[in-house]
This record gives sequence, structure tokens and C-alpha cells, in this order.
Amino acid sequence: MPKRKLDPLPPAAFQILLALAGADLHGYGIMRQVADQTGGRVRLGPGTLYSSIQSLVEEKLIEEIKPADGKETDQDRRRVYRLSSAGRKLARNEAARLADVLRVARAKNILRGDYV
Amino acid sequence: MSERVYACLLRLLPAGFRDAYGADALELFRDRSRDERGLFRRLRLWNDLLFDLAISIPREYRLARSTPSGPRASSDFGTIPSFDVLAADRIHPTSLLLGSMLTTLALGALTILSSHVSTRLGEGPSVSSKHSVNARYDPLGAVASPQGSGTSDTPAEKVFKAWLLAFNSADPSAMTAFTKLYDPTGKMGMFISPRFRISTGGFEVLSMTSPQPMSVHFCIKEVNSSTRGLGSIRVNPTATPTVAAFNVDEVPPDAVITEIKLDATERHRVIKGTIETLNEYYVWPAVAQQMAATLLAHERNGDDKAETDGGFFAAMLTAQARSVSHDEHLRVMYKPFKTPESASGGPTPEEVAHYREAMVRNNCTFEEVHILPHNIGYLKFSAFPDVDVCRSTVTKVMKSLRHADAVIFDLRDNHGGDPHMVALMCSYLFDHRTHLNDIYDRHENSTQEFWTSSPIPGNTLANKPAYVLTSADTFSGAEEFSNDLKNLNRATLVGETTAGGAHLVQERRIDEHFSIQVPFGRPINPITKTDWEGTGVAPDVTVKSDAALETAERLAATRVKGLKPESQ
Repeated sequence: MPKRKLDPLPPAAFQILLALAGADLHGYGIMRQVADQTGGRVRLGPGTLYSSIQSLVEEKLIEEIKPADGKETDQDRRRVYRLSSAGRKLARNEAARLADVLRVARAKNILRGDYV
Repeated sequence: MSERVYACLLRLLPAGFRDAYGADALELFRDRSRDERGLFRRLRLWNDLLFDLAISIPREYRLARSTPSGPRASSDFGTIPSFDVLAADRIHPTSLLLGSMLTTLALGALTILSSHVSTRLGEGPSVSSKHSVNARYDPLGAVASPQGSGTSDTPAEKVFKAWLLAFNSADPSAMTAFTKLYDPTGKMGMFISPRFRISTGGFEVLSMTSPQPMSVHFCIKEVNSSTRGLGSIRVNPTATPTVAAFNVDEVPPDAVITEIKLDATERHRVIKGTIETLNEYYVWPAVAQQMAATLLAHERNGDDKAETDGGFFAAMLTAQARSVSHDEHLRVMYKPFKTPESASGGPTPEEVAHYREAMVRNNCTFEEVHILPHNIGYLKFSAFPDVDVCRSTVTKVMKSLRHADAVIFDLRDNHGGDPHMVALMCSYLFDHRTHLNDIYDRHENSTQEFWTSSPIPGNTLANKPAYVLTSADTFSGAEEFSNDLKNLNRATLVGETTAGGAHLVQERRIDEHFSIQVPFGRPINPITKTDWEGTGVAPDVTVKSDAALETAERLAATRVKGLKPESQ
């Protein structure tokens, strides 16, 4: 079902990739990690979170981890997600792109100072 | 109860999405409800959820609609006109109604509550306080809503006049109000600082022209002296025009202003002169060749063709060259008056005299020098000015801190200067001659060593704890100061990674209007054998630059108390 577009990468999806770069997490874990890494600025609501997760899974940028013993108990039915190597690569490219933007922004600034 | 409400609201999402993630969304709601207690956090939770649904519902339906129709999409609606629900199970009309009502009610309640809470807690901008700000700051208010002839002002003229009123009012709050409204990115620098207002006495406008609605060229004169400045302001074409670029150059007293209109021949001559200078002097010859190729390619493409304005043409060449080198020290410059060719290639005697006078007036850029609680010396300065001009000021400043138990150098707004001055300032922190830095000159193919001139007679700071405050704006020579002391383990750097400009520059003349500030040399740290071009100098203690002083004060106070156990 290739229907969702990740090009350009939406900020929410990028934040999720970054959250998963550190550890495998379930949905709520991702939401908290994103809140942490953005200083509380971004709190992903369930709709945005799972919609982004769905797109990322479809594009194979993250994958759902199957429970180790293959059975799902009612107690532990949370789905845990892991960053795929394609996802890691995309996150790296996006970070590099943002770094470029930052560099241009700095260059446009009139930084005076004569180191003479 | 609230879980059931949210479960109902979730039914507004398309069935496909709900089947896949509905349970997870509900689980997440439970997790957050468990963790986020108290009125404020609850309100925030519901605010997040409703906002999220308001965005997600239309998006999911849009996505569901664009899905290639599977068996579910071609369901039993047939040809009967109907809502395109695209769901296995239809949304029951009562759910829809209930959902809409609840959303409306919740949003209404939230609005009332949040305004109530923010007024009570005094947080968030309330309308009444905004009004009082405008009412109090007359100068800005007058320009923000121009009357009479003012209504025909272009956006750039409006901002320029607002700046002049705020600056000349000498009222710090008017300046803050101007910055907030028109200059959120801080392009005006010291031109909107109360201190600069005091030293200049304000400005008179001698002339003003508007070549385009978004830019103004002007000539201004300091009230306190005969110093004239020639500058331009460019604003963004936004609803409230904000400053995109601001630039003022001092005009030598006897200069005759002759604005020129560039043609293709003159443009080509400037490009050719720029390329020759870069090839001869730029610190990395291979990069110089790449920049030359880029400048020529832009000229061939006709990218420069329409530019007849000297200042904007210089800015254009600067941007083209920097797009390859990313070297923020490199700058092509234009002056709307003829500059004489001095025999030595260095500054003319008039320029030196002018510089000296400006430094005396600005206290060699030392903005603050005082003793903080716990006997911590603090000095903030915005440049490392020429050592020959400012040596006596530095001696005085450092002498005033001689009884301090620790010292904080605030370089957060420091944009560099003379490497000899960097060495002189460092000298106060050592009791013996110390190798700080080397500078490699590409044109001469030579390396100059920089050492401290320690010990300095009467100095008592050589063994005292030292802290350097840095920000992402700390640039050039200020980065060298930070880098030198960091690598010698002589100071603790507190703040942000610096801007990343290491090269040394000199101004080379292209013709009587144009010159280029060309990076000709690079530092080599004797310990790391590297420089910080493009990377910046990383702090030892990373905090936002706003919090750097507070953090350093705390560190210094702890350290000072530790060193003197007999004091409380």
C-alpha cells in the first residue's frame, strides 16, 4: 500500500527516526523520547505518531519487532519499533541537509569581525 | 470516563487506520493519563489530543481516499449518493454528532480555561499588556501606525524611520520594542543599543533614497561628532517588514560621495580583480581556483547582469564566493566614495587616526568591567582591537581586576580582531612565556609564532581560575582566545560551540570603489596542529549562551570557595 509520502521528510517522521536511533521503543516510548530530545517542544499526538509510524513501516525505514518467543500475551501487546539501516541512512542524510541549511543561514548573516 | 470520550473520538478516524493503530492510540492515551496528572498537564493532554485529531482526521481520510481501491473501498454504497466513508463499518450518525458536540464543547472549555489560567499565572501574552507596551513606547507607536505623510512610506522607509525614532529616543524599552517588532534576528547589532546611543548622541539623517520598496540607502551623521556614516537597510517582504540586512560604513571626513551605476565593463573589472586577488592571496589556492570558476560561471550565465548597485553587487560576489568556500571571513566590499591608493597597501594615516579616535570613544570595545559577588572579576568586550591603539586601556582594565579571585571573559558577542591583542590578553593568565598559536601566511609561505608576554609586572591573575563565555556568534580572534586557553587547560569554556571562522584577513584594493577582505592566513594550534575553520571551538561546559554567565558564576564561586577553605 505505497500511499504515504516521505519526501520531503516531515519533521515528525524525522524526530521518530532520531528517537529510535538510540533504542528500540514502543509508541509511548517514542512520544516521550521525542518530547525529551526537543525539550518538550514537540509532543506527538497519537494520530500523528501512528500515522508517521505507519508511513515509516511501509517505507521500511523502521520495522516492528516481533516478540522473541513468537507469542503475544495480552499483558505485553505493545508493538516495539526498531530503526532499519535504510532509516538510519535517511536520518543521517536529513541531518546533513539541515546542517547545510544552517551553514547557509550563518553565511547569510552579516558576521563582522576582522581577524587581522 | 475520559478514556471513553477519547475512544469515541477515535471512531472518527477511518476504519483502516483505527483497526491498525486504534488500540495503540488508546494505550498511549492511558499511558499519558497515568503520567500526566494535575489540572495544567491534563489540559495540555486534551489540548494535544484534540489538536492532533483535528489534523489527523482530515489527513487520514485524504490518504484513505487516495488508496487504490481494495475490496473495502468498493463496498456496498453502490451508486447511491453518500458520504465517502471508505470504512468497513460506517460511522454511526450519533457517534458523529456526539463527537462533533464533544469536540466543540471541549475546545470551548479549553479556550476559556486556558485564558483563565494564563491570566491567573501571569504567563502568556495577554492583550491588555500588549497595549500598554505600545502605549508606553511612544516613538515606536507613532511609527508603527504612521499618520499623515507617513502613510506613503515604503516598508523599508517605515522600518528605517522606526529605527531612527527608537534609537534617538535613548529609551532602552523603545529599542527593545523595535527589536521585537522589526528586528527579531538581531541584524541591527549595536545600532539599537543604548550604549551606542550614548556614545554617538544619536543620528541625524543627511540624505535618504529608496531605490526599491524593500531597501533604503542613507547617509547619517553622529550628533556628538562630525562622523558620517553611509549605509543601507533591506527588509523582508513580510506583513510586518523585518530587517533582512543592515550596514553602515563610516565615511572619511573629506570623502566625496559619488554613487556609481555599474555597467558590464565595470562589473567585469571587479570580478577580474577579485579573482586575481583570490588567486594570489587566498589561504587555500585550490579553493581560490574553485571560487574563481564559480564567479566566472555566474558572469557567463548573466546572473550579475541586472545589478547596477555597487553595494548589492559586492554582496552578490561575496555570496557567490562563499557558496564554494563557506568562508565567512571573505567579503567583497563597496564604498560609494573614492578611496586613495595608499603606498604601503595598508591603511592610510587618516584611516589609522580615525580608528584610534573611534576606539577611544568606545573604550576599546570594553563594555562591562566589574567585580561580581564572591569577588569574581568579569569583563565583556566585543572585539580584540589593535594592540598599539588599545594597550593602555587593556592595562587599565586588567589592573582594575587585580584583586579578583577568579576571572570571567565574556566573548559571547566578540567578533575577533588583532591576534597580537589575543596574545596580550592571554598574557595575564600565565606566569611564564607560553606558546599560544602559530599563523601561516600563504602568500609569504611563512609561519609566525605567537607567545604570551608573561609575566606581566604587577599582575596577580596568572594562577586564578579563568572562565570564557562563548556563543554561536563568538567569531574569529575570539575563537582563537578560547581555543588557545582551552588547549593549554588554562580556562574553562562555558556556553555554545563558536561560529567557526579561523582565517586571518587583510583588505586588498580592487579599484577606487571596490576592495576585498581576503583570508590570507590560517592559525595552527601548536598542540593540536589544527584550526577551527568550519567547526568552531567546542565549550567544556555546554549551556545555552543566555545561561553561560550564570553557569560560569556558579562554577567560579564553588571553585573560589574551595580554594579558600577558611572563608565560609
